[in-house]
Amino acid sequence: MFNRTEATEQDSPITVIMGCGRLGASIAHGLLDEGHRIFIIDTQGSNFNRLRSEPIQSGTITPLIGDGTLYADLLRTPIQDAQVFIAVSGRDTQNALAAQIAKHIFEAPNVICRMNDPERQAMFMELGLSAISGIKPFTDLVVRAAKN
Amino acid sequence: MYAIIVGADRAGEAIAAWLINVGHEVTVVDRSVAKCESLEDSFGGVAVLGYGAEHGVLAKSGANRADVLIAATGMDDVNLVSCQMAMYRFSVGHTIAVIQNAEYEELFQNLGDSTVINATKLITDNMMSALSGIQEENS
Repeated sequence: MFNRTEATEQDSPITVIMGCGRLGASIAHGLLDEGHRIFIIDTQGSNFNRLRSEPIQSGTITPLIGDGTLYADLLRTPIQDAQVFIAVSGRDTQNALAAQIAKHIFEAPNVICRMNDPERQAMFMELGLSAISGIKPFTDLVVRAAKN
Repeated sequence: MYAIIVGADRAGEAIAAWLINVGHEVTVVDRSVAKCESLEDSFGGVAVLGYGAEHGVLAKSGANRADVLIAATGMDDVNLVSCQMAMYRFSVGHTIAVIQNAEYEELFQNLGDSTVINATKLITDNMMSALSGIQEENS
């Protein structure tokens, strides 16, 4: 549906993140340290207060107010050149929709989405998304802490 | 036929009523307590309170023996995941997704092989044919 442009080896990878909650902001900073250029989209502008100001000023993190489940808003990010798309809003169904748009409409090579529900995580893994759920690792940590 | 309807707004409720009247078995899933109570009053034994994109809720609704799931909430993301869950977790043979955002039509068809009902397009198509009738009268 949309044409992708070929990225050259020396370019720093472009990552588009949907959702700038605690998790989205933390992932943005983590990938920034790995040399990615980050575009982060959220419907609430106040969520961008979680981002460090230096990378915003230097243009390595670009915050955009918009809805990551709408094609027009995604097209305001360089989604067609992105190597990685990450959907980490608080709602599983929103993340599933955005991630499947990124994979099937914009053909992003690496699509990652947060799933709170382990059942949905398993299903979307089978459907070709890198679905990640925090419930199991968090449970394991709590169980381990409770044993001490 | 056994049908599960996710979302009992006007369209969902009207479809449920129609299916029941023509003798089909129906379960309606809605996250509103008031809506579920009013469905129980009208039809009896058909409402399941909960979120239709949730595995446990679909299991409780008898999705494993459903012939069709109709996802008719006002939220396109919930409708998509409900249909995918029905198809890939409960092997429901037919899914029908209602969408508000017209641009999702092709995506939803490809993702779950659902029949997609494009609510916005239906309204605009009807509106345009009504308008072209008026235009002809006035030309």
